[in-house]
Amino acid sequence: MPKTRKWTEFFSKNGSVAVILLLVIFSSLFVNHFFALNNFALILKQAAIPSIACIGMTLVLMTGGIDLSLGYMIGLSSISVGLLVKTYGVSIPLSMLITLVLGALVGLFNGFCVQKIKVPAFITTLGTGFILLGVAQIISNGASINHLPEAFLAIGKTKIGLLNTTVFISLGFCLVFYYVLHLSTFGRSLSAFGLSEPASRLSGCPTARINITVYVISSVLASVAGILLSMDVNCAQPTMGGGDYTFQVITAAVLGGVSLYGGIGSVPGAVFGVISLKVINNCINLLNVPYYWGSAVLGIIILLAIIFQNAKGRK
Amino acid sequence: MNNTILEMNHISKYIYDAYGKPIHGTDVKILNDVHFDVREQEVHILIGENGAGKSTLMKILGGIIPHDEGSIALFGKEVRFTNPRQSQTMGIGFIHQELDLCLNLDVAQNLFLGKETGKLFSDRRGMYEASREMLSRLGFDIDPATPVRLLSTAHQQMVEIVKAVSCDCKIIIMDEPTASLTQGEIDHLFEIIRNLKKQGVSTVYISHRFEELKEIGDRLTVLRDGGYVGTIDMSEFDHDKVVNMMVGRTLSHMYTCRHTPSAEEVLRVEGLKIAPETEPISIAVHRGEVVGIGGLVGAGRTELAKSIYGVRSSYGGKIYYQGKLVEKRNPQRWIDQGLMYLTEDRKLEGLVLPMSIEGNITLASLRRLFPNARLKSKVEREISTSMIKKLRIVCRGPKQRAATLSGGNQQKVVLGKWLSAKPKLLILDEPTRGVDVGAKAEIYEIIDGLAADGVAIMMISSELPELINMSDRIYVMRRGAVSAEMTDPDTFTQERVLAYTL
Amino acid sequence: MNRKYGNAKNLLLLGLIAAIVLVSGLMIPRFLSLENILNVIRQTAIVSLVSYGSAMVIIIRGIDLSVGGLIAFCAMISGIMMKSGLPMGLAMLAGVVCGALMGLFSGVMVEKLEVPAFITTLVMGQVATGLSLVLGGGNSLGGFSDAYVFIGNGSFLGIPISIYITLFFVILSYLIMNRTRLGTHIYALGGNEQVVRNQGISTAKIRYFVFAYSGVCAAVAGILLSAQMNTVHPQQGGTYQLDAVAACVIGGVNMAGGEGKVYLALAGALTLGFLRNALNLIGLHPYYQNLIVGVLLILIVGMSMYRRNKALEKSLIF
Repeated sequence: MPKTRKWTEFFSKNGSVAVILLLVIFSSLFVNHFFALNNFALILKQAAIPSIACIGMTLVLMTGGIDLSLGYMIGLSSISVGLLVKTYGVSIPLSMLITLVLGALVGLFNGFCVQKIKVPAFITTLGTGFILLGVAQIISNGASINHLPEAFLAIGKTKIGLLNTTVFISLGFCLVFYYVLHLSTFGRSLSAFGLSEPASRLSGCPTARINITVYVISSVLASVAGILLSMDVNCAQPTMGGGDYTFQVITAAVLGGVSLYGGIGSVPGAVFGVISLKVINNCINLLNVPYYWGSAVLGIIILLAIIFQNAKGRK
Repeated sequence: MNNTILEMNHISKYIYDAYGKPIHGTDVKILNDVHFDVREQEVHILIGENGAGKSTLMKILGGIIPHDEGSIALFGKEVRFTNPRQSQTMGIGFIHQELDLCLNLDVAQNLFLGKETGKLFSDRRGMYEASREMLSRLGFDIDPATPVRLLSTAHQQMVEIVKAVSCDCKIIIMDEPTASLTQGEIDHLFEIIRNLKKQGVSTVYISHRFEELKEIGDRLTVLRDGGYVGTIDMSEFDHDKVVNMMVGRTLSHMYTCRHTPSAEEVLRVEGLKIAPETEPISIAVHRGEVVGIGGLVGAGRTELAKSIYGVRSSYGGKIYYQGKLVEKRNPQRWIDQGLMYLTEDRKLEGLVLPMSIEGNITLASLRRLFPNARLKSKVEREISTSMIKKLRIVCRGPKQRAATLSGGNQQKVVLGKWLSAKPKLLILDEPTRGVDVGAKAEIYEIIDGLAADGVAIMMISSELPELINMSDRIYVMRRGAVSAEMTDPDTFTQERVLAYTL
Repeated sequence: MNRKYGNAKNLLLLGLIAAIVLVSGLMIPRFLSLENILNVIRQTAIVSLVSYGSAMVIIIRGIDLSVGGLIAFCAMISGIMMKSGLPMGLAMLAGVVCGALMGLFSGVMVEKLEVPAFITTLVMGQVATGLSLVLGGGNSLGGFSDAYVFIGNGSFLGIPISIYITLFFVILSYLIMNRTRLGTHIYALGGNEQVVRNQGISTAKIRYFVFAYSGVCAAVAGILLSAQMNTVHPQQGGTYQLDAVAACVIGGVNMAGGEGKVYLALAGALTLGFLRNALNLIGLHPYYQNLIVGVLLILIVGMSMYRRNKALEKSLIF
């Protein structure tokens, strides 16, 4: 096979790599102050937490579903852990555990509605999202909680070299889920389920369990993200995350190569997608483009990504 | 003798592979040099076994699929049908087996779909009046404002008939119209057909039911294995002669028989009903035995298999596996216990097409091969390579995507999946559908080998030669229940099996 | 039997509205005052407008999640046009046309590229929100002409103009769906797409129209909202999206497609409006409201899905 053909094949399979490379090259050439170690460290730090959430979203998208409640779960977990740790003085490990369990319960509910009652995922998670938002605001009376305990913040913000612990925590999650998705039978069954639900079910894959599990994973990872975000900004907010955050995570997932019909997706892809997004944000900042361009640019990027993905002809 | 209004000559249709390229070779054409003509004011019956090509031929006439070779002449003019609408406008009405109606609309809306009258606003009153008239003209007592989903199947069919008849057509194709009708409704249908004949409309009537054919038909054409056998006048109709035309010679050199059935029962089904109103089914399969399940499409064979497998609800009855009563049935449990089901539709239910051969072959064995949930690519590679060799799968390697394989090789991959899972009882649903002759013979050998190793096999097949030559016993199904059990292989003939299916 | 059931569902809906109104009227002093009722109806006008378009999209088995963004974007467009001197009528028309075009774009993506509707409209909504942020320079736009404000808040013959507008659109929607052949085709597409194709009807045209119409409805709603508040806030779309879907669902528009009356979405919107109003007057924080709407949404869709699955299982003739 001619050399160029091999490269095109590689890039069409690993589009996310292509995207990142192009972005980095382009930015390094045309954007001042981009190509600096400090800047790269910043980008990595910014990408750490969304990557965790994006892994969860990727898994859900791979089943052909969607989790529109992700951003609101972040808010609920943020304010929950804040309330537990600061207002009620519960020990830090226990607070985090409770928050994670909360996430798991939300995910179970989502998964149950989607799998057993067959309510479409976008309806379920749309509804759940607003429920979570409501609960978050009620339990906090709309107020944020500042000045969280030092010990709590230290978990995320301790600096190791140019990066902080959050990055390494995120890395840990990425490695764990790389194993789950790419090296375990669960991941194989998940891919099969996303590509062909009837074939996988008739071949003995536990499709019901898989479908529910991905929503649990997504909500738990969203909880983790909420906890880490609270450490990051030293503030527990009921409005943390939100609908915009959900959308950014979805954009990152799509950039990372997730197929919206299911079955195709990867953990490295999720991470690359988030990094790509943060590179774009970074450039917008460095170029002094007003912040409010962010949404529009993001929207147009994912629009183009979807058009490009599908104009090639799916499957 | 009446004039010929439709002539289809030398019609051929190829099978297409996953890339959309036609596969050449006379033994794999769906239709091969078929001739069919219709005269004015006649009822022309089209029969043949499952897979003989009748539906395909009619789909070509109905504009649903194009023909690859040959010519079609309608009223003397050469035509080529490109879409259903065009075929309708030219005067060909089609009543499908699967209903072509929008269930959420009412009768009048369905009748006028695409042909609504009225300028800015639709002329509802006019359409309802016209519908009422059309319905009563054919003697149907249906209120045009009734939502179609509330009608019984028979009534829905009547609406379809009205729809077809009202498009001013000269030829109406009816595909198995009496499948779900009572005797009274059948009589009514025949009266309509006769009336149509008087009004100058010819009917092409596809059916298996010999009793009906004699009543309504003028001529009869037989297709077999995609080829044209002959056309006879109904005045010369002879039951045995027609059956003979349908079944043809057996290619017995394709089959080996190395296995001997034992007396040890592996599966026993007692009193299982696949629908509330059907008869209970009782069958049994033994170690090392190949049990054939025959019957027409729609007889309920796949439904039976799916009920046993636990992916379809059943009504009453007990299932015993290896002597023990089975309470909960689902694919996971069955596979763990050694009962497996190779589905009828490999593209949708058998293979994960975008996945590699390797991934597909190991899909049913994941729990068994990797008990601690950790995939080992070396193990996968070994298993898939050995399956590829054993089943002689033609491919570029285990990593090739299943979608790019030919039909026969795809089927072998599915077989490989189940073989890797070490089955004790394997249900095969149309194992050689869409498979070329060479691969067919190989698959027969594999099945025989499995039985010789002690696997119990339940084989659902619509191909009579296959059924007769492979089976040690045959259950024939009809209308959701077993109509006969044939136990002596020496007495297996296609005629006998066919008799039980009709 | 099903026809009786269909009527029973409508009666249930009416009963629900009546119950809410009655109970609230009894328990809350100010609830049944003319002033309050007119207020609710005026506010409900916005949601109901959006829900007409959403209902149509749901009927063809899609969903329009872009309405939130369009509410802001189209209002922003017309606001900016007015500020730069364009006559009010033309400016509003510009906004509506934008809504139609965005909707049309979604329709094209769904039809030609076969991208699932929920993702397409989700993304388009984000693009719309983003564009309205850019257009407004990150800020809201306000201080419009008196005429504009009058349209939002004034009355004609004692009835708020908002109500005229929503009545106009509900009648228009009714006429389209029940009296034209396009309407029949829309229902047909939701019922069985293959049959529609077989009859030679262009599914593309149907989809384009429905999505464009949804865009128009969202645009009108957004412009009306900004007239009521005398300000365009780039994030004003917010919960209207959720409410529109909830209104459709309460009004009996089936998620599985092919069924539902658009004017019932109005009833659903009214139910929602009175519910929110009652909760407000009790003193229940807005926080609770979204929660309850979310619960309602899942509950109603869940029940209808559950029932539908049971019916489907039963009807599995072999």
